Amino acid sequence: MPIDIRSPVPAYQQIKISVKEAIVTGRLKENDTLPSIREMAQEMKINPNTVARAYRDLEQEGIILPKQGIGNIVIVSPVIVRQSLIEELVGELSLTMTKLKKTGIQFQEFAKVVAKVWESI
Amino acid sequence: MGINLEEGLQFDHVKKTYRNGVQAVNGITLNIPKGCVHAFLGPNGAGKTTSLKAALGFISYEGTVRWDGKPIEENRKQVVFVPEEKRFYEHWTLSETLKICTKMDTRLNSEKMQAYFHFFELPTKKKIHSFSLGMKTALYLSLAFSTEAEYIVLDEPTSGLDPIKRDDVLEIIRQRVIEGKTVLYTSHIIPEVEKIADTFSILRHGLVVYNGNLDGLKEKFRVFTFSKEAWQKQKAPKDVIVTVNQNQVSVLTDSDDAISLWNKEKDCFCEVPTLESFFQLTIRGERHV
Repeated sequence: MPIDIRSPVPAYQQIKISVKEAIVTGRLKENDTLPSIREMAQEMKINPNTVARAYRDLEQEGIILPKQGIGNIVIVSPVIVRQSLIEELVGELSLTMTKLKKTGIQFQEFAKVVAKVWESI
Repeated sequence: MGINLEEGLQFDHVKKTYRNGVQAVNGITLNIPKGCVHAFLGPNGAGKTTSLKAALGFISYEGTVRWDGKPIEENRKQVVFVPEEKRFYEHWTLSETLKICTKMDTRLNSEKMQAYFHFFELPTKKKIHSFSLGMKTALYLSLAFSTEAEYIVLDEPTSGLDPIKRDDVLEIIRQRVIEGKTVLYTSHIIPEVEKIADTFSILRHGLVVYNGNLDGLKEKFRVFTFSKEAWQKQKAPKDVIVTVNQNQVSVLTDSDDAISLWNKEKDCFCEVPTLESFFQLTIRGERHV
């Protein structure tokens, strides 16, 4: 899936999120190899440096491990990744929540709106 | 992580004053790492083309520019350049161009060149004087993309190209970067830069006013929009760029203090800047430092 450059979410973060989503939904399993930086850059229509930054972050978070001659291996289970995916997505949500809070909306009203949207998904 | 001065392109206090006294470049210091696309953005007369010409050794200048640690004279083989002004030998046909150019410049791979001519749908038998601006641009790019030079320097590379071909060119640029090449280019077209550049510099009056990358903008900067009245109630802020537009005041900042303060403020609206809004604000805005 290509990156949305106009999104307020930085491109490297979008890559991280899509890798984490792939792990949580089972499209990428423990011990699977991630596409190479080149392949990912081609697929996502993004420059390799951005992919490299995302992979570095994922490595630091202990989600992938680079192995010489093989590539970047997924080293954690979906359960662990799920939590960090949630944190990442909540980060995205906080941009919208900042905007909402400025409108003067009260928490209870906000919670009702959230519940309504939640039901409709 | 230190900067490797033996790799990449370094501008060190580069200045250019023309004989008529015009200071086109006022002291640019920049490190452009290898293997990336770096864009020079700026309004007309900001010093984009002059900086490129200095780096390429086409004009005299103060300061130094190093390509992989060497002056351009020692590294010219590793650099190709597409100028903004597309002048060519007008009475040649494309096939003649191919023949003569590959003789003149041994770096050119004629098979690749032919493939690019075909890709850009350039007529081989027509003389170049009958070419449109877009076709001349395509011709120049075909030459630039047909070498294995490490650095590809492009001044307004997509001028005259239709939107489809423009996207194709961006895709070729990306491909070259995936192969490890470094691309330096100037552009007026911000959505294009947004699509392709890893890093960019915004130039204004011959100075770099911002150097960074798009993800960095989105992470660090916020734009707050106030009404004029609401803005007047704010205490004298620091580290902000203020742009007044009719009844609206836009404030660009990367100050954590300002961001956390105004995030709680009801009288303003907060946005993550796009490259377009960031560019407009840095060029038009007044700095409060």
